[in-house]
Amino acid sequence: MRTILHIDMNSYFATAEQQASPLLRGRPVGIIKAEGRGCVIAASVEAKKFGVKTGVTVWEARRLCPRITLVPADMDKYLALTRRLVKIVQDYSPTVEVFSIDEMFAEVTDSQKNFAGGAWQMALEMKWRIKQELGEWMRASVGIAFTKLIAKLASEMRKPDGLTWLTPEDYLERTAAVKVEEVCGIGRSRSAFLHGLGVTTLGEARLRQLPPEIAELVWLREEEPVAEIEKLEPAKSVSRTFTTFTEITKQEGIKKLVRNLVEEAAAKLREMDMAGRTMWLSLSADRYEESSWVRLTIPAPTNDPLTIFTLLWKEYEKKPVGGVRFAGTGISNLEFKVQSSIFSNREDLLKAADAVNGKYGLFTVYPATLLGGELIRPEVTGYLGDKWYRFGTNQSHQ
Amino acid sequence: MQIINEAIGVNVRFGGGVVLPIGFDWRGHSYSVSRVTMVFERQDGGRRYLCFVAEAGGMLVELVLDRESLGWRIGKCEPSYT
Ligand SMILES: [Mg+2]
Repeated sequence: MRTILHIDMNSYFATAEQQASPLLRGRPVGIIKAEGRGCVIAASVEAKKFGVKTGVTVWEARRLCPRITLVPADMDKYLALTRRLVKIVQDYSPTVEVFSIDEMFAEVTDSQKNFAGGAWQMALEMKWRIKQELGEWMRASVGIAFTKLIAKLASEMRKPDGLTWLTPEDYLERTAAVKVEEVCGIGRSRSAFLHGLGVTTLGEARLRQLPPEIAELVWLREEEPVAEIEKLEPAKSVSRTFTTFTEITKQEGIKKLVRNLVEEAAAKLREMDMAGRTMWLSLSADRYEESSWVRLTIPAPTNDPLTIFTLLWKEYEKKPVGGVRFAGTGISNLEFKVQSSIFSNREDLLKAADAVNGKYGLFTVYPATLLGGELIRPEVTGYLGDKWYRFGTNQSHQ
Repeated sequence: MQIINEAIGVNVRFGGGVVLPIGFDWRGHSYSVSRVTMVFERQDGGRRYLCFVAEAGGMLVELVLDRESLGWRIGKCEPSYT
């Protein structure tokens, strides 16, 4: 038996505009393609109550709901939020299918076992994170079931902000009142056919002898695997090494060198939108007579150079070396990083610093500890194992 | 909705773990940002912009950071909905 989650953002475009413009919250909003003409391509929860649906003309929308605010679609906003949504969902399963800009399936059959509270708790946490990371006004309905078709139907059953779990024992009963046209696959012509028989709900349809392809759908028998986005292996580790021209003997100088290398390794991680749990530091004097090797693993992944540096340096200070010719540092145990909050995070600062460095060259913005020290530039080797990053799965900003 | 696209000076807070526009000067007035409701990216050819939708002085504005030139522009402005 499989367990599949279907995550569906509610009235996505209109809700996103309400997230951006707080004064639109709680008010009827229609999204249009361009100012002043055409059709409503999405309606807010409030506008739907007035009968404003996708596809109605602007004229009709104003007649149904004179107080409606019409907002031109801004796809950049919605795509940015979708990228964040995909990352959230990917934290709960390696098998995620992006079904549309505001809908995805996650196969959690195996991953739910590693999660206290199982799929239900996963869904609650996802919903909570959507509010944290996409915005407090954003809502999603989640359906849990043993097939994609039923999971999608489950998410439809309670909107907005719903969470519905349909089991093999109760799904037929609980979907009996669902309108036939709500089933993915029962299109216009099949709905019309069923309506012609006097059938409007799945329960009624199940009492009839129907052509097999329609019967499959009303009994919700269709079973399809969740299609994965990609199967590329992300980078396993990043590292930076440096050999100095002359031995560095002052602890202050060693500290600057280490900080510098950590900054670079962490910048690589952020460039790839990854973070790691294991970090190491290796320092050796001339001819490796004296050396220090530090390695540690932390519970939560990080790509923050200050965190990495502080942890490594604390370990190093327990057994310092007198001089350094060779220095190396690296981070492994990598995973894709989703930041915990969009609006207040040290990561924002780091990303802004990366933006500045990307423009004016490395180390235009660097920590004060590096001031006065000689700065080491990364070798021009590019980033290894960064296919993920090149394929653009990490295009999330802030 | 008014599309403005004027270069402006923005005060940004880089501290306490946050980078956020906190205020800006525009057409002879200083505005302070009361909250940022959405952060997202726009792309224009190869140019990438980071956009902050911000509430300031009863307006809703889009403050746009050009990721290359690092210049700020005020992108759109909307008076409060009443
Ligand atoms: Mg939806």
